[in-house]
Amino acid sequence: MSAAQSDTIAELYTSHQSWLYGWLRRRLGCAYDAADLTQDTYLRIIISGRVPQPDQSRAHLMQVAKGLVIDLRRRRILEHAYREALAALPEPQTPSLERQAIVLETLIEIDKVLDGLSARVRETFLLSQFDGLTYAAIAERLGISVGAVRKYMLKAATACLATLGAPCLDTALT
Amino acid sequence: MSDAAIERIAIEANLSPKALQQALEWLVTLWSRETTPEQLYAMTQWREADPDHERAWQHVQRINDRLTSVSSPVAGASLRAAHTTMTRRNVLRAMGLILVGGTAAYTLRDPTLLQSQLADIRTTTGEIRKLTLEDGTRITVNTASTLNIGFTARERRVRLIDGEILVATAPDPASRPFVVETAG
Repeated sequence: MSAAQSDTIAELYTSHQSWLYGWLRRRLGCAYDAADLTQDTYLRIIISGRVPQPDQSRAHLMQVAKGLVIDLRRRRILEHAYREALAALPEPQTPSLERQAIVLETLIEIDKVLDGLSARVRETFLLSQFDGLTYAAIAERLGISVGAVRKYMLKAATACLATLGAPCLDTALT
Repeated sequence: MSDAAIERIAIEANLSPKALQQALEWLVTLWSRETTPEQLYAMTQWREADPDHERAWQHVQRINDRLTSVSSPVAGASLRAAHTTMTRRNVLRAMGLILVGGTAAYTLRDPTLLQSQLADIRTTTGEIRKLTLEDGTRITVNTASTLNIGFTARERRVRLIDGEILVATAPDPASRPFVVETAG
């Protein structure tokens, strides 16, 4: 990062940090989350290397922060759903806390992939990968041809490629 | 995602786009769980035919590794449940308190002599419920809401006592009007 860029970031932080924190706090209703996401917002901007023009500072901060708020909500909802599903298991089958955390991180990535898919493709993918059904069984269940199942799976696999195929670089950010 | 996207990923990972596309096809073949010995043999031959093929295969294997590391019905159930919750919340937020669509008539009238036929629906705090009525009308009941549903020969009536609902009406063969009545 150049000295000029570093000055601009410093300026972006001192001028707008408390405003951003206030905005996030109103939106989230939680001081801890608001403080976390305020830091994450600046971190995202530093990593992206795209520092906004001074007259667009707040608009840009808000745009980045909104994305983080949505990510946080999705994460919490998924976390809740995962805990509920685990609670339904018999006691000895419950994975360790460390294992649960690892699974949850991967599920969050898979959830992002699924979000970009149509309902049909999503359900086909879930039946194949999580319920262990064969293509023939999926075709019968959904009333579609095996060829269609294969086509949907190729679509899903391609969507996975960008998210799950990449080495894990940005897990520290999310 | 398109072929252009595959090409972009291939170039970033220093792979041949064609080999990457073929590797994805092989992955999808394996996922069928009905792979024949002939297919497995053909796949091995493809991998050995060119170092580019093998590298592309190793790349898509990462997807497989990540997926199998979490694959279980519990994980599938979590993903389905989370997706449903998010979709419902978005719908409720985007559409407001009460929305009556389709060919419905939205009117407020005096409560009539339906009381005996009313069905009572109640959600607790934090619960969101989706109902499908006998005529195909779909109602999403938001948290902490109470409503009564009464269908007669003359009309289809929903009475919201408390809370919020979202109604998507279905056309009625008997052309009965759909009435949503709010308390207060």
